[in-house]
Amino acid sequence: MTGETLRRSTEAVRNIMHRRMATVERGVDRLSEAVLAVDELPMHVDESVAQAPVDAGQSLDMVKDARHQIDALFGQENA
Amino acid sequence: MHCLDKRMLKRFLKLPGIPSEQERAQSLENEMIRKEGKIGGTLFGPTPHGLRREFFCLDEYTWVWHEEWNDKGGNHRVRNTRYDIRPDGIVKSQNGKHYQRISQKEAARLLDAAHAYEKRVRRELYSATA
Repeated sequence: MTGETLRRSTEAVRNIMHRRMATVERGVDRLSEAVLAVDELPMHVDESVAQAPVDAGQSLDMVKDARHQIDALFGQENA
Repeated sequence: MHCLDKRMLKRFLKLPGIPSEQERAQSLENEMIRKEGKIGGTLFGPTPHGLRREFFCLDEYTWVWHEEWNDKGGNHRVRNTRYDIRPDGIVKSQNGKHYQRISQKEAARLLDAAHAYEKRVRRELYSATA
């Protein structure tokens, strides 16, 4: 292996780790904002709102995408 | 270089059957999420015997609680609880159905868990990148 290959690979690994940590940080930030929104909801909110009909199609797609990702993540261990 | 970096680098370079750098990067990222999930699964105390629990940040808008166990009949059971983070609140679904908005109490617990998760993965997985 050349020094250049090693340098590039090391950089790639560091980038992946940086990216994951940044994703987690943003995830916590988004969650914090959403929790504030939950706190501001009126207590009598109709639970049927949770069905989110406006973007139900999009949500289903997201679930399918997530299932693929989850299968990819855990499939090897489940096999 | 931090020892974790060395392990990750070795893994990155020797992923079998994955030729392109992009695919190796995706595979390694998935592996990092699995490691995060194992750490996340320990945040809620010990699990009953035979139960495997993972908790992780899938992306910035999605948190996942994943549990697997065998029931009394020996059937393998899986429960994926997914929290979708939206600007106006948090919606939960289990095994891809039954969407429901979560309560203030559950949202607060989820946020506590996410803060603990962030601290743990930063310390145990990503401290070398700081």
